[in-house]
Amino acid sequence: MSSHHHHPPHSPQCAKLLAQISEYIDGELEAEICAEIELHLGDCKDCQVLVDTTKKTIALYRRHHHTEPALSPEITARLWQALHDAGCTDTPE
Amino acid sequence: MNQEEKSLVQALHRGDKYACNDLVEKYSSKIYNVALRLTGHPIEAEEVLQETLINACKGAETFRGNASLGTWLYRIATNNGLMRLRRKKATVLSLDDDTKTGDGEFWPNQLHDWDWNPETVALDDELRQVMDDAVDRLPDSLRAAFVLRDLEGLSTKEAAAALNITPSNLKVRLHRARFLLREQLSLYFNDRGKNGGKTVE
Repeated sequence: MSSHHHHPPHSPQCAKLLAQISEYIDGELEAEICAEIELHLGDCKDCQVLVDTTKKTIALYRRHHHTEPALSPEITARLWQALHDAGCTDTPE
Repeated sequence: MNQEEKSLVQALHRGDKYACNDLVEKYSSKIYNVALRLTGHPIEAEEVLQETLINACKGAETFRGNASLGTWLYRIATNNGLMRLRRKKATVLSLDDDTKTGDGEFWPNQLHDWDWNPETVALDDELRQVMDDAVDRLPDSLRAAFVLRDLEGLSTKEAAAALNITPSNLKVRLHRARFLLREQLSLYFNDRGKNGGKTVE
């Protein structure tokens, strides 16, 4: 199952899925094309892994991004100062 | 645009300095996080944050209301971030050089399953670093598409508007970015699994 080398798509269906995977994951494909893809996913383990791990990649990055700490007081203070110096605000907050 | 945004834009157009304060309160964290992902550097991100809000407060008349206020700000922030990167980097280490097959389409090198749930896997410092490094190594144009669409959750249309590209171009960039990031994380999880499998909390 695991592969560390370049290899071509196993079939034209694999190549088609690869080209459309992003839109498939985002639900941007027509129902007919989705059904075709799902039929292919039913009997292609590599494509199942590709879809599953791509979804996991996106989910993990979202979690990482949304658990960033809030702006530090130092950054906020320097921002207000910069805005004040540029004449955008009356007083630094 | 909702009513609150419209009032804020009108106040900015009038040169109301309190409107600038509102803009800062509402958007500074988002802008900073986008800038941090784009530039990969806290000091650069802070400078982008300052530039973006100064540009927005002083240049509100350039906002025509075709997009949402957030999209307009993302566009300014992305432009500022990408301009800095262009000035800084003579060459960009591109991850996509060895991932194209003969017909120009990508094909994955890493196809092993990940036996964990992205909602529960431990997001420790090591993993966060691996993820940040992978984003840093993306070509700038792909990184910007990924940050706006997948991290900030803009729609395809909004992200394309922010980057001043067509929605189909945005989709192509997003597709490649996701592909490259998946490859990098796959490599990492495969190694981590072999080294004691500390992948799940």
